[in-house]
Amino acid sequence: MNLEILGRRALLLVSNPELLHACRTVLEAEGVSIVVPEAASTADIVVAAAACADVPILDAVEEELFADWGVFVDTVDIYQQALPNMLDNRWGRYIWLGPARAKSLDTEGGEMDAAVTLGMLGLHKVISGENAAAGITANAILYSRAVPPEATASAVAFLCSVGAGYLTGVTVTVDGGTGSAMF
Amino acid sequence: MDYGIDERVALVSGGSRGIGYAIATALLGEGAHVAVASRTQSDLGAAAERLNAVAPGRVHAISADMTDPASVQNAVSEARERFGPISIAVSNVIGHVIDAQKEGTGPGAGTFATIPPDDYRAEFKQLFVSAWALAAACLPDMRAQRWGRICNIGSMVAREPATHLPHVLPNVVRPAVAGFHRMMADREAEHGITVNNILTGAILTERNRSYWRWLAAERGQTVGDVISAVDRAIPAGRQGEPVEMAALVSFLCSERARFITGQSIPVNGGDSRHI
Repeated sequence: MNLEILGRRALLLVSNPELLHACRTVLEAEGVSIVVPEAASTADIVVAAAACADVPILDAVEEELFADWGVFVDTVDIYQQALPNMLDNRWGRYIWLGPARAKSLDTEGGEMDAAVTLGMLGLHKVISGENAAAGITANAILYSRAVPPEATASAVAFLCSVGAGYLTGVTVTVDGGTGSAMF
Repeated sequence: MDYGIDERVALVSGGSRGIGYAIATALLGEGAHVAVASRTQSDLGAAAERLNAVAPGRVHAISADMTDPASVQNAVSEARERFGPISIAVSNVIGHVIDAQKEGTGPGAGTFATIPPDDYRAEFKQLFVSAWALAAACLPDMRAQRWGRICNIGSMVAREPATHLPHVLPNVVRPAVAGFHRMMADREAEHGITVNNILTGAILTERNRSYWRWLAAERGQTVGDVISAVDRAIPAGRQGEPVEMAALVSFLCSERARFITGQSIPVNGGDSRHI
């Protein structure tokens, strides 16, 4: 299927190397060019991922909480830099990649990843509500550890497509059916 | 119904007025000792006096900044010295939304496009760090007693972000706070501690009246028009009262609610759409 994103520019803020590679590969195959963070203001697509230290929240000290929340704040900063260009073009895609645990919370590690991702779901809902009429979508993909990076990247590419333009403010779970939460 | 919390020690933040005050009153009514912590010294004295009239000798007022972990630790120590180990902790800190008292200044106003990234840090301190610090300071007492109740006064926006009001900061931080409590519930259940989160809907506190005054000015409407529009949008046809929040919170803090944990429960007159 033609995703109709040939010539779009994507910024990938993904620290996991396999996931970054998979996202880059699938988007480049659709004719998307990858831009560096310094060129955030020229991006049509921003894909960001959770990347927190794996300290259980109750065992953390305040500085560690703020360091992890810094991932959120830095992402907001980059997202804002990209917004004017998206508004001018009346086209844009924000996609957050977070752990599937954020939907079915447990204490199997990655607590701040899950907490930051829950904040991100709120943020993407806000962005989608404020910018849907301007052709900008904001969605989240929650993926589980067992999922091949290519499967997550495929969902990223789909959400970037023109055909997915009416999908906004939603959360897509890519977990191979392992999650137990219905809503 | 006997709630079984006679002589238990509770700490309620933001306890000098509104929802916190109503919760303190309800817990006192069930026989608990209640320390109320608040930043506003003037409100605190008056509140303590009124609460003491209801439950002489069972109220202790503490002036504290509940968003500062060191201040929270001091407040918990003070409550413990006064009444003994803490069994019940109610975190009740409001987010950054603008209101008439602040004359529309400070973090909170704006949209995703305009709110400075650092304001999200301030909101994180306000809502997340405050709840985290109170829980962390009280959990050792609760684990030692093998009995504890942690209740966070959250907001409906944690599940359904408010898009028609300038609530961007709470919209993004409240879900993270709810998630933290869900995870904490998992961890603490084996110690006899329950952890729940209230999804507060529109409750007509003095604070909210001030917010509606600000919104009315912002929209060029009368306060009465704003309030009746809010009322009409709620299936119950009205906003809630602080005592209706306190009713659920005091139940969750009771012995009877010992199998209810890890939940986010709305008190909102039916004003939500999720299943």
